[in-house]
Amino acid sequence: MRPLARVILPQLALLVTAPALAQESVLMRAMRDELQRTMVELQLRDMSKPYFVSYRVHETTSAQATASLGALVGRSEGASRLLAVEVRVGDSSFDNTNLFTRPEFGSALSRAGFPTTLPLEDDYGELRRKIWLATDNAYKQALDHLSKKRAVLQNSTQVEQVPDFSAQEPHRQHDARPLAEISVSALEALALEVSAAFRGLALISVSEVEVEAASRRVSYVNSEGTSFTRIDPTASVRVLAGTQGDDGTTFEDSATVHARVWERLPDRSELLALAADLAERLQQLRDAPVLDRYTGPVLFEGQAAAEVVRQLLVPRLIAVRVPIADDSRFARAMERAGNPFVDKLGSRVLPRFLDVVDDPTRQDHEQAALLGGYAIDDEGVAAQQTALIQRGILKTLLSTRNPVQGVPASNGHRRGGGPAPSNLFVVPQRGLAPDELRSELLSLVEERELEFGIVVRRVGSAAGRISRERGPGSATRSGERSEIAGAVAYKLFADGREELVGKVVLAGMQESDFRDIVAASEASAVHTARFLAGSGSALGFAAVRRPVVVSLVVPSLLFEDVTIRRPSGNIPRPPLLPHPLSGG
Amino acid sequence: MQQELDRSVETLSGQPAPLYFLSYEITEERTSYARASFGALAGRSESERRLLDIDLRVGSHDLDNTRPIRGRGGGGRLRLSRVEAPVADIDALRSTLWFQTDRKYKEATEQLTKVKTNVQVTVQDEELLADFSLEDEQQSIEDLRSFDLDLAVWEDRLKRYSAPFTQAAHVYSADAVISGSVVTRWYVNSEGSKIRTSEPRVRLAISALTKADDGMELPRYESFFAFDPSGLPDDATVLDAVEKMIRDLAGLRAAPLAEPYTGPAILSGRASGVFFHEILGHRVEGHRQKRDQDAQTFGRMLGEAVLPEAFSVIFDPTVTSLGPTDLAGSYRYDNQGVRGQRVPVIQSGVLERFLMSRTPIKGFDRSNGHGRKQAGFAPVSRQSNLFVEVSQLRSEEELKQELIALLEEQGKEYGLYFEDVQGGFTFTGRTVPNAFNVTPVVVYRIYADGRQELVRGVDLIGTPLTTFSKVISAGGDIGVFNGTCGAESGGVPVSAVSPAILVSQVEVQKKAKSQVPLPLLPPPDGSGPVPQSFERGGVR
Repeated sequence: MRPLARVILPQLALLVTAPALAQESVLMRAMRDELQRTMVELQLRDMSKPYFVSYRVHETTSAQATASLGALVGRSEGASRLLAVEVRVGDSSFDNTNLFTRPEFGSALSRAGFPTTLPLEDDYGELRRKIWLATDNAYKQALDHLSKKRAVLQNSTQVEQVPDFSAQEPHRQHDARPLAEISVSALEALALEVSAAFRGLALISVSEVEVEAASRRVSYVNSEGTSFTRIDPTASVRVLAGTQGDDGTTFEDSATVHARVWERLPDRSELLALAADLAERLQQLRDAPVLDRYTGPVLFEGQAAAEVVRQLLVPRLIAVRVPIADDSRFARAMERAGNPFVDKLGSRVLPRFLDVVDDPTRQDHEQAALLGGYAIDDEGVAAQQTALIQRGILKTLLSTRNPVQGVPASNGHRRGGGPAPSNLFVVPQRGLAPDELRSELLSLVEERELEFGIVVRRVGSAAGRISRERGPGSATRSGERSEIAGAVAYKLFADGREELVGKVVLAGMQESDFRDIVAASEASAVHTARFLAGSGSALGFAAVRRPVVVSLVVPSLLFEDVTIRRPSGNIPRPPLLPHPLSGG
Repeated sequence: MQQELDRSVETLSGQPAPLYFLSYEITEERTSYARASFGALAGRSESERRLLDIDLRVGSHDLDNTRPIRGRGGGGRLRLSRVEAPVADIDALRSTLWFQTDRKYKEATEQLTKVKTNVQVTVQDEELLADFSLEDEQQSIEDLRSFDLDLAVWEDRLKRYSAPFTQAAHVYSADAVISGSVVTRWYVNSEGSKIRTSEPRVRLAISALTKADDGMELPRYESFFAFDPSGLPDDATVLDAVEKMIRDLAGLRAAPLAEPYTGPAILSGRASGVFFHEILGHRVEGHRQKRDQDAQTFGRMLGEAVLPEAFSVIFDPTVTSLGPTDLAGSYRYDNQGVRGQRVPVIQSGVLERFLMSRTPIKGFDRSNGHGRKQAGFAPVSRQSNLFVEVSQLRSEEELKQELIALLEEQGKEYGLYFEDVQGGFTFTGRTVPNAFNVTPVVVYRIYADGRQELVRGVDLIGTPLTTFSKVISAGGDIGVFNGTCGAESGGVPVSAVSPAILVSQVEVQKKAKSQVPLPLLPPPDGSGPVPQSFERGGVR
């Protein structure tokens, strides 16, 4: 027995300590050590001590290159390590958070709420110093906010008593992979090559290709014993082009491809084909006959269905907590920023044959890769499948540890500064074959005594703007527009004939239209795009907001009533000079 | 560029609203940047971009689309654009130029119509001044420059420069930053000018901050500028500066709080440079004598004495260095294709002329090469290298004795010595008080017995004309302030060079102060790992 025990014991010891040693980076150790000191010692006079502290560090190496017609427009690369500190005082039922107050920009040292720059190197002492000072600021701000919040509520009774923070079991998960290097010259070469596709296309007046890649590691530790490291790299190629019709109408569109890492972006030939498609589409649109106005049944296919879901439905599926404003001028704005679907839990928001599920654990759908997945969210909550809508009834919302009425706990969806979808599936309980769906559209058309129906195959996004002019007013916030531009629509006649229509927009479409979806296809398309967490919400100032990549799996959707019309506003005159490369 | 310019000029000059001037300027910036904080690397980036600026004018020199619309707040649109352009390929560049020129032309014709209407319906309070000056064509093609700013080497140096602060108690931030750029400009215009300039620049900046026990934040800042990395000081010089910063910060932390005060003061050369930049420089920028919302402080003082006879103030972008120090505000051509010129604004105390861009003002119809801007902005007249030249220089000691004499005369207990300043700002508008604020960081009281005492928490304030009338004499070492000046046409590099000056009366006010007290916990000692016993429920 003895010799055996001697052999086993060291091995056991190894098993227990080895993972911890291997995973504990210098950064993690510095965060843990300062966290412990904070929880034990940090207290201002007789004020309350923090009941919760977390540190989250985003390490990023990024590179970007932009080119036009085979020539470099600009490139950049950089590295950063940013710390976000969360300090909560009070208790989980009532603490310093969920208060909207004027942000203080005053002093160099006390910008609490803004991320702190940490050294790029693993310098333990310097990491501790930066974390110490950031914690100190965050704690003082937390005390200040808690007292402001108490003051606001002194003279009013809170009707809804929703806690400020939901409970969570501790969880640990570490991804020990190193951060990948990015080759800016490889990105540049790709941008140059793909952008050259537009050479010789005199009708395309502006074009640009932007290649971006980032390696990112998130390291997190909190006072409840949760810690994680997560690697989430991103890469994308965005191709933009624009043209102008003979009457001056401008057409702009883009195509974006995402990948997990830059090495896995599609190869050149595929990207060149994408650029050629884009050019072809613009040229066809440019020459297509104009449609003034159409109101009636519309079939959204493929990307178009997924994009209207992303722009109109997804912002309603996130649990937006409306903060208390300490200034009555902000109070109304706060109310407007809320999500009306919070009051629709249990109501029917889609037809009975549609379900919506978000699933960060899925890697692919049929053969297509899904890129929105992750193992653990930004608050250390394990990724989980969440059934949002069942048989058309809204069951819950994508949530974080910041509860809202009816959604008391996190379902692991905090990313990029707020609740965000991952891989979002719209699942038809009964789906139609493509032919059946078109017949369904045509029968609705007949019922309405219309000449033709409309099929929309593409819908634009804010990402479709030409980025070379970043003038004021070019920013668009998704979900707040009454017009969705960049639609590629076809007339569908009773005999099955299709005819492309010129530039149109979707007018006045909103989330309530989704209830009147008449039918959906059996098959679904995968569409990957960016989603800015907290959009349509009042979250913001304090958080590190960055867009996250989401994949949507959506069938074609037949809407009962949609208005499509020419864009409003004046049309600029066509250029006075011909394109310099047109030989004129 | 030339091809597209010619093609545009030819066609657009024949339009109903003919184009009469067109210029293209492309600014290529290749920048490298690294930052270390307390001996550890904190940031690094490299980038390159090329911005295109088009100045397109329709109408005529006398009246064109750029004339500000009167009676409207802001007077004239802020012509800010950020158009990036590919340069490496001629076809790609021509496509961009074509597209943007067309856009600009349409904007210009629309604007010209508005201008013409506005001229009819508003009061034109002076004889009609032209909108654009006539200038000679310039041809100058410089070699393309580059420099090796080896970031790996610099990262190591930055760490060494910022490391000594770790030994200093109560220093809460300490950064060393290197930023280098090569700016290449290509400029062509329809008057036949063709200019290419290529200019490397590099700046090493060290900043640190401490807090007094009452929560007041006390910064120190040192920066070194050169046109080439080899022009930056050696390690020993930088580390000496760092040691002085640490001593200053310790001194400032312990220094008594200054009281609001009026009385005599000496401004060091650097402090005086900033003082002149803010008080005088911004008020001799020509276009400010024209716009109806500007106060035009000096507009009616041409030919009058504004300073003692011994004082002259000259702006000269053609001087590139002063002894070993390169001057940031130097350039060969401004952003309107006009050669940079020496401009004596004040001679023997008398105001003689203004800094001119191609926007004429009353009495001055030509540019003197001060039409400057940051890429993406519309140029206006801006400062270059400011030199305060004084014919009878006192020694430092004489200046101090003069101050002490003034103390007795005015019955003051002490005067002030402004050793270093961080920068300043000024308002030149009509609707806000026409005042300035210079932000000193190291200020001493000088008592009648010659004793010096460091104080903290002062801002130097005042109104320009009053303050100017109090300047008495100058002396001591010549100081150089290299900085970036921000105004309506963006940030442009400038320098100010001056001896120390004695002012018979300045006014200081208390600095706005942070209410946040010192950190509650002592600094982490940086020793090894601590047992992780506190984590409840932590599972391994």
